[in-house]
Amino acid sequence: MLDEPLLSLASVDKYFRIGSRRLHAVRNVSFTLSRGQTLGVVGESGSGKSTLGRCAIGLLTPESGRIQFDGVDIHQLTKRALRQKRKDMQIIFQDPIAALNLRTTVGQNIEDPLIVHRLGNRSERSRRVFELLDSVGLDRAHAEAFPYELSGGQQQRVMIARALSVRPKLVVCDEVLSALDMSVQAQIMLLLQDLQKEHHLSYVFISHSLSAVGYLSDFIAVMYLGQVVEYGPTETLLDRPRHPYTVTLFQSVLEIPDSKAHRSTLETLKGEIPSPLQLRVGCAFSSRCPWAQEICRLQPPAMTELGEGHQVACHFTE
Amino acid sequence: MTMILEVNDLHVQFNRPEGTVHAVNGVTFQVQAGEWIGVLGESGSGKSVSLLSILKLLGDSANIPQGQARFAEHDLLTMSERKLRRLRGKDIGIIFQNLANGLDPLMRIGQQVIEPMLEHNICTKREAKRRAIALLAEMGLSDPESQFNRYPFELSGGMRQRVMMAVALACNPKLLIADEPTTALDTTVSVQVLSTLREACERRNMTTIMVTHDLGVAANVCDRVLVMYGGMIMEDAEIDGFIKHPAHPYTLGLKASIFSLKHRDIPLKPIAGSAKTWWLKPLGCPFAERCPFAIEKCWKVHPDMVKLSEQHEVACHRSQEMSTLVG
Repeated sequence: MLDEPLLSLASVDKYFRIGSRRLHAVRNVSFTLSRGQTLGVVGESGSGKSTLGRCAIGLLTPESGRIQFDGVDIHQLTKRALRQKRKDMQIIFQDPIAALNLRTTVGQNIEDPLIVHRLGNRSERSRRVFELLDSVGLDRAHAEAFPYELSGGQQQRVMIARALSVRPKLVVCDEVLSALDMSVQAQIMLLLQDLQKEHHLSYVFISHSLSAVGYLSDFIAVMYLGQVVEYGPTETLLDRPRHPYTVTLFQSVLEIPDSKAHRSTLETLKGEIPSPLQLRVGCAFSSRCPWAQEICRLQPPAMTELGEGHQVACHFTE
Repeated sequence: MTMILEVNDLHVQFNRPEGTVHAVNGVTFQVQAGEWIGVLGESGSGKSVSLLSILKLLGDSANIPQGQARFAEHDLLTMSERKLRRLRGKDIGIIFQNLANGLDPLMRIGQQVIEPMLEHNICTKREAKRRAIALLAEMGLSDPESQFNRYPFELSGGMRQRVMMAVALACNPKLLIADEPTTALDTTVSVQVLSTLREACERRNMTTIMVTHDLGVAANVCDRVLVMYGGMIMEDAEIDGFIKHPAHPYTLGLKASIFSLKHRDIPLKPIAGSAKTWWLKPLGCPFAERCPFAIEKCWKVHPDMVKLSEQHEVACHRSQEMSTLVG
């Protein structure tokens, strides 16, 4: 049973109704995530990555498809059973101030999930809070502070401690770095990595930052307009991206060049991500793809396996 | 080369009920005409405050106890508000960071581009409309005639940023101040916007000061970078020197905090701790408490700028030994 993936999604679809129209936020997404590994989900705003993360842990119910977590189909569970299962799957959001209870102390915030899931008595719980503060690099004295008294990086550490309080198997990290300063982002990345090793955690790491995703992930899924257009092991994807969107997205990352002569030419994709309310018949990326042909506008490309788990949805994978 | 902006020993403080925040603590720099300067720093480093304060854009809570700022022949800090209004938007264009607040939500976007031209009596209404459409097209808005009558909420973030750029450039300013122009944008859109902005500035031979927290953005577009921390300039370097020989421990720390997709074998080494609010003026070097190389002197004595080469200065007591310390 241990070889079985912790999380697997098969052909997951999710719509939102907007008036009489339908916003197709996640389209036919499949992937598996093994225990102790990280799946990075990268894409621009509106690509459906957060919706995917919420579907994966049962916060949203998909229209169709199957989500298997730790051996059970989470959307077949009763409400009560799902709530119990939630102990094993936690989520950390982008904005700690919106997610933490500002009227109670940091300690209380971290203790709350333990009370909800009836874990331990009062003294065991407070011991656990101190243990968690230690493990995320905060002072025990911070337990008495209120969330708004801490810096952004410290608040995000509280979020991590709260998510880990119930000893989950899976943590969805939804843009957890975006509100932080660069030096603090790196601290949180290292912390997430250490905690993963220590507790054998699996992460779904959702981010628009390719650099962060490249650092933390074992596998990467690149999303565009609700679909995974390319998926594969991190090294393969970074060294040999095959989908035109992945290629141009990687080129758009402004890294520090080796010298002035090696600076970016600032060439990138034209246009912006089209509205998900009016999807095309063919490949969703065809409107911006510099290499698009007739077939791309008429027929959606199927996901093709290129070997070693590298998959790409493009008519021209050669 | 002619000097267009000269800021000398600028101090800015905010009076809060809890006390005084020392946001800018002695900033000195010069900007030559035609340069593209990047002001780089993390939140609270004073990078935006030092630029917005000299244009008196920070309201009454910001207090400038000390310093001078000269723009061309004008002394900005002693000027009357009436005269300053004639400079802002005309000779000095500003692109604000906040996409939501930078534009008037109740005014059609075309009108917002026309407004500064009429306010500063640059041309007739009809001419202003013609120029606005040309400007929106230059900024990359497709079909500007029909977009002209739209409201900001009808546009995407990237398009709103382009409108804001058109407003800032409407009067052909000599100096453009861009406060985090790409921070809220997606990766590909942010590169598009930078490219449009750079072309527009080159075409006009405009001097640009861009505030950014993104090392990659600064390194790829600026001619010179000022690195700020704790309301002070830590390093002032021409871009090649900045890329190849960063000298301040803070700059080095920032570089080591970013994971490079090209050089994935280089381990991530974040700076310890986080930036703080300065309720007291920093006594020595503001970076001392996070600096791995800090010695006793760093806590006590404010480091002066040391010249490393013709176009590279650093404020660090240990700048001479830094190359051996880093190894």
